[in-house]
Amino acid sequence: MKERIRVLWLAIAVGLLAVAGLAVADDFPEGCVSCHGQTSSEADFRLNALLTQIGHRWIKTLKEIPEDCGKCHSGDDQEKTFMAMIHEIHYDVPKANLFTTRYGGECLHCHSMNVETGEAALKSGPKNW
Amino acid sequence: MIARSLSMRMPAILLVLTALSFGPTAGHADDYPDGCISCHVSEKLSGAAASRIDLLLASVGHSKAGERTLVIPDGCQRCHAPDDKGTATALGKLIHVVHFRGGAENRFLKRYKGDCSFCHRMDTSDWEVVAKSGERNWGVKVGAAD
Repeated sequence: MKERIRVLWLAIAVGLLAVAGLAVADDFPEGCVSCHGQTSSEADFRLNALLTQIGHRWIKTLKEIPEDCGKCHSGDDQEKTFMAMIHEIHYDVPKANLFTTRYGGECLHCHSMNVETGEAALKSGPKNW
Repeated sequence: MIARSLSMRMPAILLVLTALSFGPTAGHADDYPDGCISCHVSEKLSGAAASRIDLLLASVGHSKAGERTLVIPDGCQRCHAPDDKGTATALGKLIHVVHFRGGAENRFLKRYKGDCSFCHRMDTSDWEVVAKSGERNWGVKVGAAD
């Protein structure tokens, strides 16, 4: 009997931990590459495919996204322009924009928050192509 | 025949069209157009809504400099300068810690889903994110009701 109660308590504890974990789970831990993927049912949204479509150069040199983008998109003005461009792509025409309509325009899909220092940062991850 | 069928289905069609037109609009409505003061409205220090900022400041022993602050949070940056060169911690960092520390147990995450757009908005002229602001919603003296 005691064994059963112990198992029951354990099951409850695991369940509660799972629920707590889900509440703070991050579906896009690596930012750009976590979201820009390819599924069997949809078009190829990986960044290499999107960049190729617009004739972007130097795609092969990229390893870490978006950190490596900063190799060219760097310097105060360039960096600002890059950030502005990414914001515009994701927030322009909000009623039709996929990022706002399907993904809720959530800043924290791309940015992370250091809860100890209060500083926001860009998530990053290795390229997925 | 077609006209009759259409007229019979018209209420359903209208209902669907109405729902579709309300959906996206509701999604972009801003419940907190002035940021901090749009949310921090309660005159009680605990309760369902977030407490007014003057009451919160008084409860943590904040100096009376807050009495001279008219526009929130712009005026706070006199001391809480964003470049960390003010006499107090940069406001952005401080406010982020208050609203995000503790994870899922933090009230801002638990009740308000940690939505950045409650406090920030996208400035579409240069695509920079800025803090929303508005005139304070309390009287002259910090800690006193209007």
